[in-house]
Amino acid sequence: MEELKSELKAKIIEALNLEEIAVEDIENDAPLFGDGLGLDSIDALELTVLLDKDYGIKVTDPKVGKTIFQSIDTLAHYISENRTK
Amino acid sequence: MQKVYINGSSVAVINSAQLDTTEQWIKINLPKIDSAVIPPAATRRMSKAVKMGIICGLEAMRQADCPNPDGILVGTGKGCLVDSDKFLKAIGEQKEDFLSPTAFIQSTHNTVAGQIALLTKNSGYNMTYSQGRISFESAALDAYIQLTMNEQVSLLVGAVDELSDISIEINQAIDKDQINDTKDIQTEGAGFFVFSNQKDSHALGELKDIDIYRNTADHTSEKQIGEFLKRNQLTINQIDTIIYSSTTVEAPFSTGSPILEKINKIKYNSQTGIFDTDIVFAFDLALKRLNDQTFSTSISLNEGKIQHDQNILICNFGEQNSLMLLSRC
Repeated sequence: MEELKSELKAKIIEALNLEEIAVEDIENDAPLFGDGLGLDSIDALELTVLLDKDYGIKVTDPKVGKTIFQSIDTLAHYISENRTK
Repeated sequence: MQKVYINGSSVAVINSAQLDTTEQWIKINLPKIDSAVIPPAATRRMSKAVKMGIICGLEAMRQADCPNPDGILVGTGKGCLVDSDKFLKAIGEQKEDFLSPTAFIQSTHNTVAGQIALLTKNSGYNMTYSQGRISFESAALDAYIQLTMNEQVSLLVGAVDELSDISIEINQAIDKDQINDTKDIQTEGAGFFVFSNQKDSHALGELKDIDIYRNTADHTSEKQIGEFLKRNQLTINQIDTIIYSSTTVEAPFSTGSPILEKINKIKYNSQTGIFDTDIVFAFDLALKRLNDQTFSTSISLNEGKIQHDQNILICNFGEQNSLMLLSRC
């Protein structure tokens, strides 16, 4: 799981072009949106594409997206249980 | 009719020293943007075109002390090419699946005008013109008409074009003679200006007139220039300097009248290379000359001598042509 979390952080930094943020700067339980990384709605779309492309997970229900995109912990947990790639 | 004044001017082009090269393509080295000017969260999705446009746009507004113009007009020959590259590359590599929304959103031609409006919270008129090498002039003509008709008071007008790796590959793969007969180096850049029909202490010059035209067999640039000056109650010997660009091999003044040949002429592409909206450099150069600012970096710009120019004609010759008349105010 820790390996997946580190992988996720690196992918998020690259996909969202977070130039001034390193993997170690992202706390596992910190919010991804709002006060934490400060991501926005376009980033949510990018994360949805990333889940589909890299892990074979299609997020179609906005309520599910709101839950799993809370933090690296929630995202990694959902991926480990639902991934098809 | 109201008069049109230029109250702020900011351009970003390559350092002319970079043109001393055998390369055919040179990209701008953009400095890191001060996070106090634009927050990092806002710049992370911006391509070079957007960054150049925002930096020049904000600087022109600062110079003109005009933080909230009535509208934003941008010209761009090819739009945001780098993000277009990313999006098109992803379509090919990923077989139209998993496409990034950011690259798509940022690849549109009106991204620069939109981003400036978002950053400055400007909800006014917002227009982007993409008309090849007369894109800036098209935006400027729109602004000129609105200001002379007193429909707006101040407008931010600019242009931007960037190089991308795929655009370079494509242009290298085709006959370059079709793109640029003059073999000038392809570059990138931006320039923004605040146009206003109110003259104040920031006024750098007056934009007297703009004309966009195509040549025909019996209607040459020589003839067009004559008619253009006539409708502005000027004769050719009242023009102090002609600043021009030509993307055709034929020199536009080679068959000109003896008077035209005597006028000080500057082909500015020796300073900027070629990009679709490089005319912004000529516009800025003309404003500097009208304000007796010197140039110490270039022999071809008269070795830094003050010229006391009163009237400057900017000409853009190519497939389509433009004339702009700037005067001291």
